[in-house]
Amino acid sequence: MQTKRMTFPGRWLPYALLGPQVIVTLIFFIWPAGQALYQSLLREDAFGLSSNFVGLANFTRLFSDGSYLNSLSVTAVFAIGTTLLSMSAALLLAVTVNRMLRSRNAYTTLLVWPYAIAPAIAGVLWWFIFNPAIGIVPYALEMVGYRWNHRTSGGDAMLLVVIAAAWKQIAYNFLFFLAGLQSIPQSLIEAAAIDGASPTKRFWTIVFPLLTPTTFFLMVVNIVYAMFDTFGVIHATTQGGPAQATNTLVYKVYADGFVGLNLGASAAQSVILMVIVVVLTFVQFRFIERRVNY
Amino acid sequence: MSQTTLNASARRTALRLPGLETTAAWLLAIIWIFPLLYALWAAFHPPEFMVRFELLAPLTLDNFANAWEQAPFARYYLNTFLLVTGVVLAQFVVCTLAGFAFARFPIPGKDILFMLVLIQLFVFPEVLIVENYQIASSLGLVNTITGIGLPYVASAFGIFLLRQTFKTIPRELEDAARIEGCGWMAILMKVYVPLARPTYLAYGLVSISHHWNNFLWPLVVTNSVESRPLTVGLGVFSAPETGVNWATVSAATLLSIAPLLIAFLLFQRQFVQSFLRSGIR
Repeated sequence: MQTKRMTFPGRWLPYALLGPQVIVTLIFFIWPAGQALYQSLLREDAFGLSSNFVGLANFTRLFSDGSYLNSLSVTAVFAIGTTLLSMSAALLLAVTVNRMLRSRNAYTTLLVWPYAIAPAIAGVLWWFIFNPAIGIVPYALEMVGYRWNHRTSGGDAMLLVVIAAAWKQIAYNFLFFLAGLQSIPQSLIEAAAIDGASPTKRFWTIVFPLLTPTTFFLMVVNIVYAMFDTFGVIHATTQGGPAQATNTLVYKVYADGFVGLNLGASAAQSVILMVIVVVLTFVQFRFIERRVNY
Repeated sequence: MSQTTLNASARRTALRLPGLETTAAWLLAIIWIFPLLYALWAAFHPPEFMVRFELLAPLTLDNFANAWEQAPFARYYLNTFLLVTGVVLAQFVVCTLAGFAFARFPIPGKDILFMLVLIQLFVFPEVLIVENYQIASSLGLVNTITGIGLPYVASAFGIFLLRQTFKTIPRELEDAARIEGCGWMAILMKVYVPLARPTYLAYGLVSISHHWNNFLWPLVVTNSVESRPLTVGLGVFSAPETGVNWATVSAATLLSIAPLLIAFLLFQRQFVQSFLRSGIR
């Protein structure tokens, strides 16, 4: 009967303990989520006086809207680019640092620092470096014959936001890759070395497959980061421009809702964001529960 | 992984470590940290030396003085400080109570409630920003520090972590405390909370760095100096159209990141541990 007993008196105590959490969740999660769902099915008339039920019309309109489709593809390119860059750079650094002994701690401190910097501030730093007029990188690129201008070139702008967003996240990925590398038994690698496998081959056939749980976990975290946590980077560097080339979904919700003051039309966009988040959360939990391994 | 095997393996690899590789690693690290170094350079030198790297360029603190004068950084610091301490303390209280209830009480419908918490793990206010703004404004929370922090108080992540920790604490300790005559409050405060200290530290550090750096929600919900935190204040200050001198912006940038960078340096091991432990941000 150990498990069934009531450990505390008072039937209402547990509910009272959950109270504060439930109230905040209701106000700042359930209610807004419900509002978004509800409003996404309505359309207001031109004067905002009445609204009527339009079913999924807001969604079909959204998916035939060129600027929204553009924003979807921009977000995909941005998220994939940021994830690839930050993870490959982090893996490279982690592999290098894992071989070091004496300076490992100093090196780790140095590499972890950018994680302490807000995305908005990372954006300011990189904007400064890539500034077409006074920045040091455009100055260097000019010498090799490339005119960098992220204010007119969409490609340059995308590259800038990807670099700035990835830079901060490399620190986080680095820590996880380093921990992953350190948990790989050295005997496996030595056995392969005795069998005559080259260092490159050892990495791709032994180390990398054993890192897959870490890699998959980080992939989801990085995609979520790139999609939802990089508003500050974009706001500080390109503000979605030029010609919407860096207008990600979250930035678009902000720009439509607060700059364009079109609060009603953004509900369907919020619902789509929520769906993406729930799908990613689900994927995340699948990988946390039973991590991929070969 | 045990510390001894780790060291042993590191020592083995160190034997074949050529000097070249270490040099390359440091070179990579310097490219990596370059944006920070560049900001340091620009902040401590007169504006003329921004793209002229002369070893003997005169050092100056004028940029910091200018930044401090041109924007109300003292106020921004105070706001961020109030925000971060308020959020973390409120999260500790709310998440401790909820985590305790989830871990130790037989509540009907507990699984459904807990699922609700888990879904929230990723749906942070950024996703429902327009709807949350409408609610904040109808509650009169716009442009207040409470308004910036309140949506984050019922942190799903904190509840999840504390519930897991509380579940590992042996029931016998609780029974012993009850025999001594402790009520639920005393049991929570004297048995559960002290034993969960590492979790509080880990969660607290993650939460501090997150809220110190948070940008979108504070930007949306504040519109004056009285409530703006540092990140938003710096964003307003360094916006390209304001035409502020870049040396000054660099100094301002350093001012706003310095406290967290120093904290990272002091608590590096704890920060690293807490990121690895917590898994999610």
